[in-house]
Amino acid sequence: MGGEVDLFTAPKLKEGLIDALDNGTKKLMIDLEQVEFMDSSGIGVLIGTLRRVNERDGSLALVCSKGPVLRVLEVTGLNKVFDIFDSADDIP
Amino acid sequence: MENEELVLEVPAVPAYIGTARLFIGAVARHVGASEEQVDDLKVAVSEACTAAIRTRADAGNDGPVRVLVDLGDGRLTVEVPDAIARRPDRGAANTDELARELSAEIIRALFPQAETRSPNGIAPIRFWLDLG
Repeated sequence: MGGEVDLFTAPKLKEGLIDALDNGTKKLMIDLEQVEFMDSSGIGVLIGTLRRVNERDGSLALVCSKGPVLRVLEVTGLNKVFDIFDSADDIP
Repeated sequence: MENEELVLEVPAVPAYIGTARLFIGAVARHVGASEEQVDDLKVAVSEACTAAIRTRADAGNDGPVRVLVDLGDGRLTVEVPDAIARRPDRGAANTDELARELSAEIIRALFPQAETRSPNGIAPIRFWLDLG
């Protein structure tokens, strides 16, 4: 995914992720490398997705190695809540 | 630096939050902020505008969102009026209040001196960047 995630675009992200889970996906990877901006609206979607994944005994991995998205995850302490990887190749 | 005040006024709808980010990014670069500082300001302005839109929606107010920037005293000060409505001593009770609290936490994490709490009623969010 790419672009900017805020109050305007977060509902589309949420819809896509819920669709993926409803279609039976249990191991979810969200590649945030091309996301130029994310605020609390996007963070809220990620938190909700993590909750849904956990309810389904699935897993969620984020790919995010640098930039403003990683900074927001770090300042909120959520980098300790999510499994974050530098690249998709690093996901076990 | 001379004192200068800039104002952006946009409709209180989510589609215009990106315009506010572009505005603060341009102003910050104009005064020599680093790219990391620009990114932090964009996040904080986005959060403040999001809070202002939510506050207006709750109050049935369809007035515009304003982003006020003051360039003076060696600072870039941002104020978004009418952005806070929740009392600080009340726990977040639902998803909307959790989102509001997360917005405020992010602003305070990026700008520790930020004013993001209201003792009573609706208040502005204000934060600033010291310019070297």
